[in-house]
Amino acid sequence: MPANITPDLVGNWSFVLALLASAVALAAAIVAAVIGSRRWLEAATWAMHALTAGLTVALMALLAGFLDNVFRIEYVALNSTANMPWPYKVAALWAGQEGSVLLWAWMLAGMSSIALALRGREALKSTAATTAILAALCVLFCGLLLWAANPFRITLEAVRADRQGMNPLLQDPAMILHPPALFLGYAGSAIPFALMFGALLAGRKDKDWVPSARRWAAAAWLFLTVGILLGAYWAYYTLGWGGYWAWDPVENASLLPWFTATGVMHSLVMVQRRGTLKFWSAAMTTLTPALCFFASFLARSSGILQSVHSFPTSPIGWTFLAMFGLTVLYSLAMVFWRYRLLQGERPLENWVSLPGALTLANVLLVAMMLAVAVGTMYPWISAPFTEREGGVVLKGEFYNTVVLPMGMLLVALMALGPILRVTKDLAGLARRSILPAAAGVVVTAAAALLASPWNGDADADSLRLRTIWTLVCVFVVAFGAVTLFEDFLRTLSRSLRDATVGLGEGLGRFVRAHASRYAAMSVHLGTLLLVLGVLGSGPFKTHLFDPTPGHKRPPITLSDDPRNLGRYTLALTSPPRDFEGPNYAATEVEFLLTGPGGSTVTLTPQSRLFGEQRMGHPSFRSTLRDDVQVILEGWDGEVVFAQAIVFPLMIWVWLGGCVMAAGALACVVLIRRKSSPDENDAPAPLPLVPPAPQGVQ
Amino acid sequence: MISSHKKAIVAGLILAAAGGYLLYAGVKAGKLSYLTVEEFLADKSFRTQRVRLRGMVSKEELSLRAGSATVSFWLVGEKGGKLRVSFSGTIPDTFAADREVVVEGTLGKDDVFLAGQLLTKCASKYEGDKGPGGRRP
Repeated sequence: MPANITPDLVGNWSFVLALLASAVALAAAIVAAVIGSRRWLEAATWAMHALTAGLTVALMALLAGFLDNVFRIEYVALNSTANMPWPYKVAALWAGQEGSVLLWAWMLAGMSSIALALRGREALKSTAATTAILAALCVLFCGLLLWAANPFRITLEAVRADRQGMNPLLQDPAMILHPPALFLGYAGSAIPFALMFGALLAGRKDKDWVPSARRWAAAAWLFLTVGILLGAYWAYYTLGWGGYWAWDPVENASLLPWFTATGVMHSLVMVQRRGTLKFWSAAMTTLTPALCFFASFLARSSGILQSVHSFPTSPIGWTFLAMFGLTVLYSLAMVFWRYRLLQGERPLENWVSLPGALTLANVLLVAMMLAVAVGTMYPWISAPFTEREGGVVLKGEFYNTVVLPMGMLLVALMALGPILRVTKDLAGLARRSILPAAAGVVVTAAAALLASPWNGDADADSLRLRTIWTLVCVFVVAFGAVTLFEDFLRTLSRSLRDATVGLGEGLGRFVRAHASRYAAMSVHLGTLLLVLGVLGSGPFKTHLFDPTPGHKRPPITLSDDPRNLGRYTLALTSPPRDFEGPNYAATEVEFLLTGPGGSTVTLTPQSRLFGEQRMGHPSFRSTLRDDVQVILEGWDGEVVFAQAIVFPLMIWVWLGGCVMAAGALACVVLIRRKSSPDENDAPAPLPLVPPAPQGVQ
Repeated sequence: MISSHKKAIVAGLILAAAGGYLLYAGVKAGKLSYLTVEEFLADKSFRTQRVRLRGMVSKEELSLRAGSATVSFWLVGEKGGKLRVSFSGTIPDTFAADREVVVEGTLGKDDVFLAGQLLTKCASKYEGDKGPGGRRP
């Protein structure tokens, strides 16, 4: 590359090209929609591909800036150092505000290009309207990149010698992947929105756009879920503050679109199969990308939130609020304009049915989203009434009181789902619930006996309440697992019984007819596993030392007897020792953890010093039954200060998350253009194309 | 026979009432006043409550050595109010003098605030504040 062609020059010109391309795409798509011209639509599509190419070049230019240590670019100077390992230089692309906006814009453009390339020869006006919506969003992002969040700004100041590059807390594999996964979810959520409102704008009555919207909704949900779980995993394994979820405002902000994305996946199923829940689908598909903008506004406007993450106030936050407002206003306008198209084809006649349960599930998801939003915004809402700037904050107890019961009701509905597929009355529901309920009682009784060592730190009254609540939840989880497996075995045996040629044909028929449904069911199975992990690790964790305020940690010495830690004992076996890591200095101590059977494990928590910033590095021992985390809090000569925590069933949170993600990935691949008759919500044959097509159909 | 429409309305009202109760119970269980140091010192009723305070860590009388598991420091408000804070536990990695912190706890003996939680505003992503002189500190 010639010396005068610098990354910042390439990047800035790429932004100009991208802005022009997105504006051309918007204009061409509008013309295509108005005059019904396929040539104009093709032009719009190529302009969208040019936009993606422009942003890809910009991203590569910024990457080159990081890898070549071009510190005249302010963003590079602030987020990297010459000696930072190259994987972290790559991750530094999205470690700051401007880079993260570029990443989001690039993913939005790329996903839009893919969606348009995969669309086939669908209805012209609808596709043109979809393209226009996506192009309009891209115009906003490109404008933001050029004028408000340009990562190619040049710094005229000498580069400070004491820069430490990316925060050491963020130099972690989970943290490298967490932002891209979330941004993929944010970007992906715009596609179902564009597909649905493109269809509405064009006055489209068929449902051919729905499978594509469902696939993109599943993809967005997958990435949002993975992003949130990676953040939780990072908090648990890297931060070592004794948990994985703290109901922190920034964590909550990322959860808001997740609730509505879950709603989108379920309501679009009903749109495709029964032509119902169209209003819900319109609301959910709008709210998901809108809440992604809102989450970005919250994260960047610390005047509103007080968070451990708290990012200083940035004017870009208000731009995201404007994007939230624009998305919602456009959606409202479309809903009023196309009101008739959103009317359901069939009224909900019976609440004891799968559509009834899905409607209720959507209501619960919205209620949970609103509760988390109110809780997160409460300091701001309450400030005028308290006449204090800070107002009143709501701690984790608020969310545990409000959101968790609704969450368990949602899990209960999920548990009833397989039964509601095959029954439509209360008597049938009760009859088919006998076996899962019996199994639930047995599992709950077994859990009550097995869990007795997990008393946690609670006092007797609080423990009794927690135990009763947890056992109710265990019953629901066991009930749900049995209904899932019963449904699976019943369907499999029916496929094999009906096979005329042999086992192979039966299995093949089962896979062809039911793979997509069981992909979705495996997401439910993962959810049950995750809930099981939360039930154990949340209320029943046991600390080595009382964590309440004012209780000072007693010192630990080599001559101390082993201390009790739940069903384990823990003893210090080596004094603090210093050593040099790859890019840090560390102090390490050694503990011996002894299990009830006499098995021993050595745990070595560390404290690492990156430049002037110290960072804890807890040590773990994980089994299917529980996790033990040991955190080095301090030392003085040979005396050590530490905390240790036992998290029952912790690993099931991550295993459940993996099963959920695998199931969602399978959904993305397996969602079909047409529903098989078996995928319908009841065994009775339902017409695939029902009469009275007044709606979006 | 009650129509399904009426049943839905009744079910909706029951759900709304349940949701309202949950919100009320949740706010009651989870509310915590979020104060500046000056607001805390000015109102004696806060002295018996668990509260969350924000302020800067003063350099004065701050002894934070490597390996320390307990820290005492002066929390200084925007208008100069000062409160002694004591914290035992995992000291956040980014804790230092002149950092903005949030502490949660209750006032103990000798007017020392016993913090059960100590949060630092982490030098995380999305830095928008350029600091004095328009540059990031």
